Amino acid sequence: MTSPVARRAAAVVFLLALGVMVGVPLARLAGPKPARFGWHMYSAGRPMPDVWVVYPDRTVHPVATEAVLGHHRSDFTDLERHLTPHLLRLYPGAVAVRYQRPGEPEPREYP
Amino acid sequence: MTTLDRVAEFALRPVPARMAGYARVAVGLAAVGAAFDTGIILRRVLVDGILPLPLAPGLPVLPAAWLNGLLALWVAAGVAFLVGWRTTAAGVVLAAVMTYVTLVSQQSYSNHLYLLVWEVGLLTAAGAGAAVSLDARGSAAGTVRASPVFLLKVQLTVLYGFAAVTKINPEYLSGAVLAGAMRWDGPLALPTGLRTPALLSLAAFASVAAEALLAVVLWSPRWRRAGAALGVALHLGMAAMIPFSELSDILVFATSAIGLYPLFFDRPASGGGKKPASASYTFWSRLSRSTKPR
Repeated sequence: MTSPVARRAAAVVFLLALGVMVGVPLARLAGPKPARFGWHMYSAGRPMPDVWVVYPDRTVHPVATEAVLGHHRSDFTDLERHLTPHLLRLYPGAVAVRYQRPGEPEPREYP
Repeated sequence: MTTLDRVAEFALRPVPARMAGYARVAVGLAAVGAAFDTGIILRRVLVDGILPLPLAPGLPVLPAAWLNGLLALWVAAGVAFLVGWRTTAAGVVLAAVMTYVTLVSQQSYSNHLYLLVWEVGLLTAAGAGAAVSLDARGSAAGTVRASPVFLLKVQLTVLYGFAAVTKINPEYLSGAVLAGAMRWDGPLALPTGLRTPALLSLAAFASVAAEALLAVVLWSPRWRRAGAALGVALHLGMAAMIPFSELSDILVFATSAIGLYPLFFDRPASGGGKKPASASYTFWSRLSRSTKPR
């Protein structure tokens, strides 16, 4: 026989799981697509940006993203925040990293 | 009796285990497939010079030298879960390994892996080793807990429902996403003459309608057989359409989704003129009784 506390705990766990199962994808509807944990499979395509490292004299050198990322997904978040310091370590002397996705009018540069 | 007590009564109530056993076999098969599929990605990600791109900050990244050990553990736990040998322990290990891989890098995350984490966790919580398993060999037909089985059915509805809703956007409905995702050569490639914007857009609308229907019809005793046939056709159609390089992803996804269909066909455990006790019936009937005016 299960104790009343354990029975209520089971009920709470059940309701919490149900809430997470429905609530997380519901919350994900508001953000950009595709997003993780929201069941956004094939809902939109987001290609990888073209990437360059920038040197102090403003010359640029293209970066093959396949060489620094093992697997590309459309639902990456904060790619630039993580990739910029990583590339600055890999390319000594570079001072910034430039990104431009297909369709973007202007490139973005970090830091 | 409070609503929470009613929910507790439902959560702990036993229901027949056979369909959960079939679902466990399918999910175990998908989990083993995911180990090979994701292992290929992990081998490319856990390399010096490759950006880990963390998903859960603070979660340590596995040294590359340990990868074979992790994959061996994943496959062993998956096979044990599939055949139902020490099912609970296998399920806990399998869910833990897949949760780690889901969270360790944005590159190793995948929707089918996330789905499998839910499925293995819930089937383990249900006690799905009670049927169609080595654990249950020689014993009478067992039972599982009703609430995880109900949650698994809700999960499938959520999956199809949100997949449909998020596709309702101009980019997807134009057919552009489908055009980018489909294979361009080989015997199953759509002939060039049929790859028109109008036809691709029509296919996009049809896929949204199919997923929206699947979110609903599997719950209907009248329509669930047709719904299951539609679901199988949709998943096989996707497998036929996408490039060969992504076939393993799609097959794992198809197996983990279709693998839950048996749960909708659970026979109510009737007896002595009592009302049926399938997981979904029990939940809603008990909850509604608790809210009826007295």
